[in-house]
Amino acid sequence: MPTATAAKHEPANPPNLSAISLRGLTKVWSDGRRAVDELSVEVPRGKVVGFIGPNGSGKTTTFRMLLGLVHPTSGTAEVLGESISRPRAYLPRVGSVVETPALYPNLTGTQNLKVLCRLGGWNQSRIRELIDAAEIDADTTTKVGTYSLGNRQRLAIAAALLADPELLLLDEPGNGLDPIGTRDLRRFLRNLAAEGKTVFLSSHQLGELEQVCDAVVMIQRGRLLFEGPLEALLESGSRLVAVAERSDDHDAVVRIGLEAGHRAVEHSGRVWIDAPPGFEAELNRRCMEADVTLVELVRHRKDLESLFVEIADNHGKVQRG
Amino acid sequence: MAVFAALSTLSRFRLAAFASRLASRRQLLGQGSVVDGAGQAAGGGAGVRGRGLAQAADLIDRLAEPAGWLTGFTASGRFIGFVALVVFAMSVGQEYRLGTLRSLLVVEPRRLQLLGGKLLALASLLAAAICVGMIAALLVAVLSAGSVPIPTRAWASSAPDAAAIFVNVWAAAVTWGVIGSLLAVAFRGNAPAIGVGLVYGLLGEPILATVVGQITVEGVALWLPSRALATLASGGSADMGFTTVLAVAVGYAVAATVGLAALVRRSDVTV
Repeated sequence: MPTATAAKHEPANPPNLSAISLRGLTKVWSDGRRAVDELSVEVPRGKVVGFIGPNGSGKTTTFRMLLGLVHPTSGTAEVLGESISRPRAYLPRVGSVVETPALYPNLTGTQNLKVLCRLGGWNQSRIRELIDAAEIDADTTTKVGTYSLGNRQRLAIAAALLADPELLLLDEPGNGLDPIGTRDLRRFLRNLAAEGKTVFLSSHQLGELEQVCDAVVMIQRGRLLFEGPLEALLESGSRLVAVAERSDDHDAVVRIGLEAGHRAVEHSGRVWIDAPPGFEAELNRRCMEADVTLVELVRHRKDLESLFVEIADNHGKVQRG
Repeated sequence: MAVFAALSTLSRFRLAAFASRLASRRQLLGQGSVVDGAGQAAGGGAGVRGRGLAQAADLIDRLAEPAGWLTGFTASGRFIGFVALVVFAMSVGQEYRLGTLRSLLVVEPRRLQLLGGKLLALASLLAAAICVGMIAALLVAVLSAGSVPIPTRAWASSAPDAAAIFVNVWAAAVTWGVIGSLLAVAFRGNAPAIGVGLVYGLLGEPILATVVGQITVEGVALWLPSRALATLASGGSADMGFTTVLAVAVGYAVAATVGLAALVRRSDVTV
């Protein structure tokens, strides 16, 4: 289980290397509800960063503040080095998909993209290329109102790429995609990061995020729970699992774990020890000294979903990886 | 709008034609001129007939004026205003209903620029529609003039009057359009904006005018938006001169524009 400490430390990425930098960002709605509460986060450039939180945790509100759609109550933020109070300075380099795809149903897919190109002053020659890359299997000369949710989502992603942005803000981009589409999206996001682009995406499909993200930001009720490399999170939640040759020796293994200052318990024929990486060698040595032979010693990592539920249930002591 | 303008014009020519035939029959029967008939207040029935014929005679005189062919068109100024309110409210409101506003603002974050462009496009569309309406009115007037003994020579010199009518009708309609846009932004959708706008224009203001007229001075009702803008579209009236009604309409336009700009600039886009 991840340790619950509110560690203060230098940010992993100095602000000038961050694609997104939030400092105490807060949004209180007119009914008094705090959607985002003193959120301070650094999103590094050139990485795929997952933005995780339960429904109503403030993810979409955060995206909207970064896109200049919602005015923050307090705090500051910078996107690509520019303050969010001057969205025109950075939005031309940002692509986004926020919530459900917002398209004109009585226009065709191609026409929807042309509207945005004309408004942004972009070259319309990329439209065909993006439609092909998004693998929209609907006829793009038919009205968007006839598209499936998956095709509308693909079209929205294509629209987000029209300006060849440096940063992509994607809110539930996999919504409506079939497994093949999800796999393609995963590959697509990794390719973007390989090109040096930054992707900041939220999703409830934590299994998918685990495969694609370099780092995660975890929030609940608008407050930060965890921020840091995904590997660090997964490692921090890992446990040692030991199996002795003789089941009678499991009590000894538990005692060794407790004496070393770790939580240890026997369960289902195994000994589970909440110890950080590196304890394996010491455990092995102490077991040998105690004449206990271990037949299995592995590190069990929880998946992102389990970790998220655990951290959220722990009522959010801030952790930084 | 072209169809309505044509029908409105046609109705006036038909009315004029009827009045003209009636007047001719009365003269043949030795019952005096149309105007004389109006002056005889011998009884309720003859008085009412007289007033009706006087109004018809007045209509015939107006149709003979240089901009006579636009008489029907200017009378439909209020309807054109309501059409403008609906069109503007629908266009602005649908951006909230579909959520496309957020897509547009991410591409063009200068909200006032985006709003200004949209209003300009709608105002241009309105101008084109009014032009088409006026052309339809002209065609119907030319075709209908033969059925009524109305001298149409003055129509050839109607360009300045037509231009003035175009500007008046367009200005009144654009003001209604901005009000419709303000309602659409305030309600974040087109349906409630159209509902509130039309209910006020068709029902609310007449009721309000009656109440206000009874509580205060009768003429105050002329200053209410629907009455004032209809008067502007008609180029002024005996109750309110053109300069005064123009000032009132400009006041409504400025207030609606400032309110709309403030709302657009400050509101959070949560659609």
